Amino acid sequence: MNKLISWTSVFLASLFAMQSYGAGTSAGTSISNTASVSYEVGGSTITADSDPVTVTVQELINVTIISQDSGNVSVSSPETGAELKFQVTNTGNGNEAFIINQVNIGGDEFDVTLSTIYLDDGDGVYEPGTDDVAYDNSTPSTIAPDASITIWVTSDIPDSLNNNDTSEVQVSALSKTFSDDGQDNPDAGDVVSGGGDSSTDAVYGSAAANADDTATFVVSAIQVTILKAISSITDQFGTSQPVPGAEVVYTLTVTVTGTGDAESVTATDPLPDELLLKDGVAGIITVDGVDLTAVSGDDIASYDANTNTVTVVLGTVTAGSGDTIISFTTEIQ
Amino acid sequence: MNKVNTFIKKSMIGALISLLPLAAFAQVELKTEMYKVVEVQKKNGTSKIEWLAPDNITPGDKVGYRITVENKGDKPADDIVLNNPVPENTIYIDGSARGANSSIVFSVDQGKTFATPEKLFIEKNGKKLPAAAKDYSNVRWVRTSSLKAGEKGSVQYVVQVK
Repeated sequence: MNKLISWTSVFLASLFAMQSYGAGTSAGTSISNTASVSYEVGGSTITADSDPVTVTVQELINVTIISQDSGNVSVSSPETGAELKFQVTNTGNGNEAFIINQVNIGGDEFDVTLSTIYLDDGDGVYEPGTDDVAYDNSTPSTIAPDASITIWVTSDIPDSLNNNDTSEVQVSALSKTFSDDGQDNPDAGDVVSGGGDSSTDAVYGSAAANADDTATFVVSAIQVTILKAISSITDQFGTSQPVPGAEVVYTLTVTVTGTGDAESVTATDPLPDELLLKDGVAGIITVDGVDLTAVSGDDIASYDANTNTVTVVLGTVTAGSGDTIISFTTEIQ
Repeated sequence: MNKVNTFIKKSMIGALISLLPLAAFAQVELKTEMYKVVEVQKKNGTSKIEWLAPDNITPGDKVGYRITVENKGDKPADDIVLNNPVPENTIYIDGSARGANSSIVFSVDQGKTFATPEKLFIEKNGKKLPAAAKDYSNVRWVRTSSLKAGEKGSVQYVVQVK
């Protein structure tokens, strides 16, 4: 028993050490070692070297895929193109492309119709029409060591489902090098000879062999969505260039669909550093055509200058009662 | 002037002659071998460490070096000191250096000074901290006994590829 514990601790320690390396030494790097000796014979000191021994670091294919949704993702029944967010990170030591697969997991109330996987445009926010580059599994883009991509896995949700029904979707990543070699389900330690960077061998890592994650859709009778759009840009020269000093009007549209009441609905918009609410806490936030002050506490709208965040507390909103339109003017710094 | 030159030449030749036989007679040869160090799981749930051929070395793998000294001369070699810098892109595995009849010391300053682990320190943000295995830049084995003619000895240590 003692022996088992000590082995376990050794194993954990080495795992921990490996994680701290990140991608590690690049594939193709030579590690050379020469020992030397000095000794004395009859009062004379003599030195000698060993022949160098050299090993080339091979490409370790490793990848992680991690759901970026916090908790279950609420959907309507039916819904087209419901999206799940995943991050794919190349944790190997070479450049590699990955094939993304999605499957329905059994044991839940319904299966989705798996649809297109989209590549995020870099901002981590799903924008239909902008994030419209389908992830191409036949020629996926190469990811550099330690680099990540964000993907949107979309699905169609069937009709006539019950409230709180769930569906689990599993998304996995497979090394393109191994797929091209006909190895569609490699184990850790499997090799594609010459398949790595700099003509090294590609070696499948244990993270790659377990590169999958799941996310769960849950049918929710009530859905709250918020859309952000730019209504206008006015610069000080009378044109509409987004230059410092220009005013940008944003519109947030809050929509509650389904049946029932959504309680404690609060719209928050943390602004980037480059944008400040015009006139700060003395500014105006318009909700459904009514101008409200940005001062906190006197009405449902407020602006926090410290966090540069606009907040509107809508409270209970009945599904289907119509959109709430929030608009405010910001100034580019 | 000529006499002096001749004398210098003669004495130099003498010096060379006296050095050559020594080097030839007490020739200590050094050989470094490299292995992939793996933990092999056995059926009964335990595991053992094996030193295998260094195939497909990737980041996180452990590489073991075995350095063999052999006295091929006919006189004993004294004060044998073996040196090995920890190769680039690797870190020394704590406690892995072995060697019979040797005291093992380490350096954290590229081989300028050596000491036993508890006497090694590094500086970080102006603070003196005890050195860890990952800070070691060199390993040194100081043999406590001489190597007789024809005798062999070996030392070893393990690194992990970053």
